[in-house]
Amino acid sequence: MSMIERIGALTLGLEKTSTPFESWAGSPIKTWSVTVRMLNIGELADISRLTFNMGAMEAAYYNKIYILAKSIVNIQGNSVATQEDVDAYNKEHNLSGMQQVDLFGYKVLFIRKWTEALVNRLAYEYDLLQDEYLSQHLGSSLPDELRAAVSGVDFSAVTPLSQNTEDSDDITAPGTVEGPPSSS
Amino acid sequence: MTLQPQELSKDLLQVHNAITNNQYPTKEIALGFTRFVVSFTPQPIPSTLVEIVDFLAPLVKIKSDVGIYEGKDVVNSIPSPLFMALLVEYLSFHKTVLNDLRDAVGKYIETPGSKNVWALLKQIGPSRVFPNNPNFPDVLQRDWILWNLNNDKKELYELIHTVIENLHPWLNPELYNKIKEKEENTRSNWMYDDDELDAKLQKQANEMLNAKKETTVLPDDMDIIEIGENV
Repeated sequence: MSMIERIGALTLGLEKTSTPFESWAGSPIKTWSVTVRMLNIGELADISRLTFNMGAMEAAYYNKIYILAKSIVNIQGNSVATQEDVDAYNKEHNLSGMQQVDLFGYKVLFIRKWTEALVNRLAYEYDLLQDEYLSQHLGSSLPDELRAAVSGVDFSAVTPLSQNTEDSDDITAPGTVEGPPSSS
Repeated sequence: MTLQPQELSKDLLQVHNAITNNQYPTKEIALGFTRFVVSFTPQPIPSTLVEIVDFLAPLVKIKSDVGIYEGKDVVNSIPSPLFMALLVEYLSFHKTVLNDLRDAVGKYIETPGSKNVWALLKQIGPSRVFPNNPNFPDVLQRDWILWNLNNDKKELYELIHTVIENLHPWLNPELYNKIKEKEENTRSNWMYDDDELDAKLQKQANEMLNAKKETTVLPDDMDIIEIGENV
């Protein structure tokens, strides 16, 4: 596989445009398209830091909002928010120094005003993107306990996804191949 | 300081390298198109996602045709579901290797290499024997130390027991002589052990009982008189 092909394969399913509100009969946003991108583990860890001290319910709620704020790329082909929008908001509210909101904070402010149905529908779209990515990339799906794995997950009962884990011969011991010379 | 292992089997060499040289097994994990090389560490796996990402960052490398990528930024850029899948694989790998290594420590302490390192550790201290391990003692080294301490105790008790045994004749000669005499006079219960004699004695006893019964039978014409209280 050439590098160009490989890059294509590696990035497969990392971003997806869909019309998540198709089934909302009579809704003005029925035909709207939304582009969602996959978050990397560093971004997910940042979200985990933000929700670390929250209670379980609050963390679950904010987790969805933070994921949407980071993962929604555009709606109907338009960027969700631009730096100009953020600057205008800061100016309008006379915010300066530490009070100023950044792009992420601005998105969170407005997503919090969305209805629960809208947030849940888009969060579901993100879950679908994860599943699609895994099935395309790994040919398997994540165990349920890992779907919303942000903090405090018990991984002990989770079954490995690949089959080669059971084959302990894959484990290379340092020293067994190129070990220190024997003294004898 | 480089410690030279003796002739060791594969599992014991793994333990030796883990305890003395901070060298741990690695494994290649293929997830879809991505190939990871992960290293074992005896440190416990944290429970929160933030800590897990930091924990795995130095242990994970991504292998490609053009080279190996590693570092915190590389790990942070892994798509979250792929990282979760990798984490599940890593947990299984960690559990297997840790169990195998801990199981082999008991055997490893009997090797000359382990005995040398243990003797050295007792003499010059851990900072000189394990200078490159800031986390000393990790779980494997703790196991190894406990096994060795137990072994030392066992050897000490055996030594004390042998010394006391050998000192008995000099500590209290009178008592020692009595014990020896008693040991010599101890005889087996020959009558109990001899089945033939036992059967013979039982037969004799039965015959005597039967004979006694026969002599105590009353004649038919003899009346039995009961004596009341008023008489």
